[in-house]
Amino acid sequence: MVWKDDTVRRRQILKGASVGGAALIAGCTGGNGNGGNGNGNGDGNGNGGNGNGNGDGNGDGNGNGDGSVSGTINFVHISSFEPSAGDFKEAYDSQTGATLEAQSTPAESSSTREYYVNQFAAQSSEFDVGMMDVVWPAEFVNAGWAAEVNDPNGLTDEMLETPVETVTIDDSLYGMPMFTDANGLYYRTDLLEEAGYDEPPSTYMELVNIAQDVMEQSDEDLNGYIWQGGSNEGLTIMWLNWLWGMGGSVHDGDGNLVVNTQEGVDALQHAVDLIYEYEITPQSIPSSGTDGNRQTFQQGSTIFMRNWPYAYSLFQDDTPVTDKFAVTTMPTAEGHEDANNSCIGGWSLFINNFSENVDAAQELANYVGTAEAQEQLAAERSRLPVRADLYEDSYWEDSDADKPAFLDRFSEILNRTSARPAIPSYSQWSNIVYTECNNALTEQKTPQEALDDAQDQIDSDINEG
Amino acid sequence: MAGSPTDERVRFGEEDLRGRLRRYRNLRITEEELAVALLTPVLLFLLAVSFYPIVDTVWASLHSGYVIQTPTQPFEFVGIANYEKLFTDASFWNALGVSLFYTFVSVPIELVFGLGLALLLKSEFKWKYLAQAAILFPWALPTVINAKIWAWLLNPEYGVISDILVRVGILSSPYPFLSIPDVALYSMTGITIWKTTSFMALILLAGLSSIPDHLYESARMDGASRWRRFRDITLPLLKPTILVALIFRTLPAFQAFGLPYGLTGGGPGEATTTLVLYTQQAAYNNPGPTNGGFALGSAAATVITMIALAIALVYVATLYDPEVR
Repeated sequence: MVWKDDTVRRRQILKGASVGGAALIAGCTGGNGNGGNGNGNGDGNGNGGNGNGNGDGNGDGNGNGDGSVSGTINFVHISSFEPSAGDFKEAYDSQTGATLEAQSTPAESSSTREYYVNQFAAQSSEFDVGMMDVVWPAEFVNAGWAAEVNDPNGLTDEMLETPVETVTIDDSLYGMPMFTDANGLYYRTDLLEEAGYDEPPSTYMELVNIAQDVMEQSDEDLNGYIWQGGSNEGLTIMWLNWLWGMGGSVHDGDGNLVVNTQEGVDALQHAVDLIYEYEITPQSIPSSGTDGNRQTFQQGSTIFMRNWPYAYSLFQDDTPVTDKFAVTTMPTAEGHEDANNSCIGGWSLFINNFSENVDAAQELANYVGTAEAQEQLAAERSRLPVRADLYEDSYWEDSDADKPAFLDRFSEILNRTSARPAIPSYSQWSNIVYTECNNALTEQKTPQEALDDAQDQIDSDINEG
Repeated sequence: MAGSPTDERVRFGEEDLRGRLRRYRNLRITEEELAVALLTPVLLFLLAVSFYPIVDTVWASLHSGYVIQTPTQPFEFVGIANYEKLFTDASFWNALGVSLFYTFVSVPIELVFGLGLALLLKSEFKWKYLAQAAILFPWALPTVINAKIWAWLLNPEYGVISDILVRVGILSSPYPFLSIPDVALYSMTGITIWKTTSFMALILLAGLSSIPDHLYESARMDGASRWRRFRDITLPLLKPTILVALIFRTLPAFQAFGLPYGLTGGGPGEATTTLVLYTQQAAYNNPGPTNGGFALGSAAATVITMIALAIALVYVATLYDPEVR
C-alpha cells in the first residue's frame, strides 16, 4: 500500500485531509471508508468515495497491485499524545479505507507498558497498533509481541539513525519511529542575568556554583536544581546522564551490564551531594517525578531543571516563567566536555503481533513516518521529528509553517545523546537501578553500597540470563 | 426424581402446601432440582472467576518461561525454584515487613477510633444522619485518587500541609514527608487510618444497633457503671461484629496496593513497597522468558494468599464464639 506522497504536494495533505489531495489518495488506494467490503482483495478499485464526503479518486498511479484495507484499527497512545492521535485519525480515515479508533493509556510510560503486557498475556487483538517507548523493542520482540513492520516507501532512510536503530532488531524493523526525545537543562535566563551570568553552566560544578551564588543573591527562597529523583524510570535516566557525562558506561564490553564502576559511584555520589552537600536540590527530590518537576519550575522559584522537550511548549502559554527561560545541553563532568550527556527517548509505532488487521495497521505505520505527519508533529505538537530534513532550515522555506524554535535548541542536544541498554529485561534492570539509587538519595545506603547491591541483583537476575 | 406429591406433603408440613404443590407441578421440577438449577450458574461463575485463577496462579508459580502465554510459548516445570528465589530476595522480606507494619499498626488504631466513632454516632444528636453520611466520605474516595490527593497535600513545594505547619511556626521550612523513608511509611499508615476508620465505625455501628436496649436498662437498674456496661454487655455482644470488621480491614490492609502505588510508588527506596506492590513489580518488570517475572509474581501472590488465610484463621479461632448468637 502506497501513500503517494510524491504525487501530491506535502502540504496539500496536511491542510486538506478532507479535500482534494486526500480524495486522490483514497482513490489511488481504493479506499472505501465505510469498511463494509471485507479484507483487501486486489487492486485499488478506483472508487474513493466514502462517508467523509471525499470525491472519487482516479484509480491509477498505483500499479503495484496493492489491495485496499478496511475495517477498524485500534490505536493505543499515551494520554499526552491525544491531540496527535486526533490528527492521525483525521488523516488516516480520509486516506485509507479503514477507520482509526484511538484509545488512551495513562501518561506514565510504565503504566502503558503494564497495559500492553496484560493485553499480550491474553494474546489479545483488542488493539492493532500502539505507541512503543524507546526502551521496549528488545523485550516486545523477544517475547513475540511486536510484529515486523514493513517500510515499502523507504521512510526510515530519511530518518535520524538512532531512532531507527532502537526499533531495528536483527536487521528487521519492528516499529516505525514517530518522534524522538532528549533531555535538556532548562534554566532561568532572568535569574542568571541578575546574578551576573551570561552563559548557562557547562560542567557539573559550574552548575553547582552558579546555583549556590544565585540562591545566595536572591531574596526569594529558590530551588537551585531540580531533577527526577523519585523511585522510577526518570531516576535511572538521571543517573545515566551523570554517568555518561563522566565518560562512563554500563556496558563492560563482555556483554554484561555493570553499575558499580567508579564512574557509577561518582555519578550517584554527585546526585547525593547536590541534595546534602551543596544543598541546591531540595530534599523532596527523592520522591519527585517528571511532571511534578515541570510544575515546580513553572511556578517560577527554580533556577535549573532537567526535563524533556514537552515542557518547552507548556511554558509558552502565559506562565510565570514564559520568556524567562531557555534550554541548553546538559552539563558534563569537568574534563569530559565532549561526553554524551543526554538520554535518547522517543516513541515509535508498533504492530500488535496478535492483531487481526495487520494490513490496516501497517498503513498507519506508513503514514506516521511521512514528511506530512512529521511536520505536523513538530509544528503543531512540539514533538522532535525523526526525519532528518526537518531539522534543516531549507525544509521549512518550502513550508507554510515556520520552523519551530525548539527544533534548533534540541537538535544540538540530540547530537549528544546516548541510549539506555537495549536488552529484553530492561525494565527489570531499570527497576533495580532506580530503587537502589533512590536508597542512596534518601541516605539509607552509601552510593557504593547501593550500587554494589544493585550489581548483585543484576548479576544474578540479568547477566546470568 | 424424588418428588411425588406425597413426599412434598411430608417435607413442607401443611401450611402453604397447596400453593407450592401447584407451582412445582407446573414447573415439573423438584426442590432439589430447583436448588441445583439456581446454584449451578453461581458455582460455575465462582469456579471461573475465583477458583480457576487461584489454581492457575499456583500452577504458574511452579513453572518458568512464558507462564502467561501458554500453551503457545515454551515453559517448564521448576518445582519450588520460584519460591526459593522469592525467599532469598531481600526485597520480599522488606515488603513483608512493610505490609506487616502497615497492617498491624493501622488496624488496631482503626478499631479503637472506629469503636469510639461508632459509640458517638449511636448517641442521639441533632445532625446524626448527616454526620453518619459525612464520616463515610473518606472511605468512599477511590483509593488511587485519595493517594494522589495526599501526595499533593504532603508535597513540600506546593502542598498545603507543609505550608500550614510553616505558617503556624511548627516547622521552620517545608518538610519532605514522602522523601524520608520512615516518615513516608508513617504517613502512608496515617492516611489509611484516616481513610478507613469510618468504614470500621460503620460496621461496628451496625453491630451496636443490634444490641437490645433492655440489656443496658436492666444493667443500669442493677447499678452497673458505664464502664461495666461497656465491658460486660457491649464488648461481648459486639465480638462477632468486631471479628467481621477486623477481617474486613486486616485483609485489605495486608493486600494494600493502590495507596502505595499512587502515593509513593513504593519509595523512597523500598520504604513503602507493600507485598502486593512488590508482587506487581516482580510480575511486570520482566514478564519475558529469561527471568519469569510472572512466575515469581505468582509465587509471591500464592504466599500472600496463604498468609492472608492464616490471618483470617487466627482471627476466627480467637474471636469466634458460637455461644454469641
